[in-house]
Amino acid sequence: MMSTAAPSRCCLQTLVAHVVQLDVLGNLSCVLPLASMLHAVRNEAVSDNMLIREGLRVLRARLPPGWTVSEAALESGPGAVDAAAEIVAPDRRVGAVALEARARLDPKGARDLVDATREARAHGAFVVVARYLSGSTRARLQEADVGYVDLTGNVRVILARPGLFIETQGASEDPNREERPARSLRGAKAGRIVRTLVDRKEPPGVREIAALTKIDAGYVSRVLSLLDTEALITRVGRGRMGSVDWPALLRRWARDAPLESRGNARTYLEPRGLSAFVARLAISDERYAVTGSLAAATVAPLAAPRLATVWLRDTAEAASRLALRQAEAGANVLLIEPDDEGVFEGAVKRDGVRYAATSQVAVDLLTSTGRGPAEGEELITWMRENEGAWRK
Amino acid sequence: MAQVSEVDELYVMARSVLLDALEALGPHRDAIVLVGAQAVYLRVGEADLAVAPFTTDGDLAIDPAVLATIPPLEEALMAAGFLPKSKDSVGVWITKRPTSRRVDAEVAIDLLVPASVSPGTRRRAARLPGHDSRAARIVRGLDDAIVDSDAMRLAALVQTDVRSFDVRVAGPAALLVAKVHKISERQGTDRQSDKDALDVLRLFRGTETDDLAARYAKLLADKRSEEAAKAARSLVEAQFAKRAGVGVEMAIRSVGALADAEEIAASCMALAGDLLAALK
Repeated sequence: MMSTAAPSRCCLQTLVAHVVQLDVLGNLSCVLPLASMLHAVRNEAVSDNMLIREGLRVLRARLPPGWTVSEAALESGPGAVDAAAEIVAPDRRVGAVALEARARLDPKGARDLVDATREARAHGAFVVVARYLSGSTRARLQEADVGYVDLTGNVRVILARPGLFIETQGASEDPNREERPARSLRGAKAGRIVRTLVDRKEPPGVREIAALTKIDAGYVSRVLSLLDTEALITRVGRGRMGSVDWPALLRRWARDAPLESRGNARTYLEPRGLSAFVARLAISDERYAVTGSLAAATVAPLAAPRLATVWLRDTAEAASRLALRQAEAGANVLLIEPDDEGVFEGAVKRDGVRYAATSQVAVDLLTSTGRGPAEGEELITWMRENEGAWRK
Repeated sequence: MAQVSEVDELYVMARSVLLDALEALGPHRDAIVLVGAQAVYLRVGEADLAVAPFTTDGDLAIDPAVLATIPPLEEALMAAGFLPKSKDSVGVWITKRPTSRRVDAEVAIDLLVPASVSPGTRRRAARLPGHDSRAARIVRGLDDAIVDSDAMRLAALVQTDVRSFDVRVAGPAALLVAKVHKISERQGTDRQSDKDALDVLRLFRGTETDDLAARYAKLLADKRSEEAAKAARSLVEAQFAKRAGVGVEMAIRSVGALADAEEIAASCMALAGDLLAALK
């Protein structure tokens, strides 16, 4: 009965659309009465109702000419689903579809759903309706021959009778992601967003942050939602930011993404001491940024540093070029290969040596060893008193 | 802060007294080589080891081969306000300077003659011809300073004092040889000073291994310095190239809480190892 080899007869507005009508004159089999175009009788949540309605609208727009779809009365019985619909072919033949509404469905949820609806699916076509289904969720559903409709236009509905094959593609990313706040500030992208917020006097908007950090606006929104709920930023109106509590934001970032989680660190000895090491850095071609107490001591009044902490690409090779020796005990240089280039952002040269931006130095110190955390707080105190010196 | 300015005051004074002595010894300046802690400081600075880098004494080695007889050393120094430290002292000349505190500070200048070139061969007095026999004293381990030294400009540490002199200053290899001999000779006595080991680390840190090795090779190749330099090579290995070496332990004690003990130890071993490897 089913054949995907049949040519598509109709092109819809969606990017990729196969709408194939099959077996139009085949066996008529009405699972549900055409006349009973009633609303679902089950006690559904309003959102589920809306979702089903919206889902049917999306599906309707993708049907070949002459085809219609409408919500149908729900068939009572075991394994009941959220709603039922009828798809009517131009020749008045009717196909029944069981509909399952899900506000959200991840791949794991899809697997569970496939298992839980085995019985319901045995009775006929089964279609999941969701706001958005990711590519991997859709793949799971497709493997199990479960149809789907999401409100961005990702649709796959196959009917045996009357023969119908619809597969269209909608959004590849969830357009409403900001509704779900990010869970933490761990990770390179969150770090870049935090730096952008901390380093600017005027809080940038979502789009500006996205452009500055080269991170998609959806994720920026999610991070801002987290910061909003954690009271680390204030918002005025929809989306626009009022202020940033940058000291608290730095501390939260440090907690979520401690120094060791942001790169690969190795310890070395410069037997000639830190001044000799810094002098060598100043004439080197490495891409680096000095951070930690060595950097902090160049702006704030801190005790003489004993450890040079440096963000650096390819630490092993750079170490030999800088004449450092690998050391476990007695190390005075810590080279960290960053997971993200963001650590170099805003680095400034002082006396020929490139130092990481002050906000970067502060967050690095807060989770450093020894006196690092205390020095991080001292630096934050200095930053409070000298905002003009480091905030753009 | 009071402590720091007090230390600063002593540094300024020590340099000023050194300049006084050099001024007084004017005609003899070509025969003089600055050695000791002040020479270490001139050569390599603090080298990141912020422990008071030198004592107030100024150590001046005299090369008898270059020294003239006139004026006699004792006359020149006494005319400039220096006096022998005591009637028994040999080669120790002192002067008193007022300080911001009530007591005057006593600053010494030591006139030293390397043993291998000293006219006097008995215990202490150098017996330089034409000079008072007790004006300078014999010191072992200084021979190298005659071989490894270069002229440097020595100026005052305050802007109000505009004096400056070109004077030969012992090179880092000569200073290293002298220091490890001193550590060895004083080991276990109450004259042992941990700061000597710190000076060794400063010399290691502040001198590129190639330069140090080249200067050291010169010492090994010169008859006047060969013996001391050879012995010193073994002393460097025993004192600084191993974790349990006496020099390593002294350096660690000397920096105290100012630096990580293991960093000091690892630095001593790495740099001593580099020199020894370069000399092979």
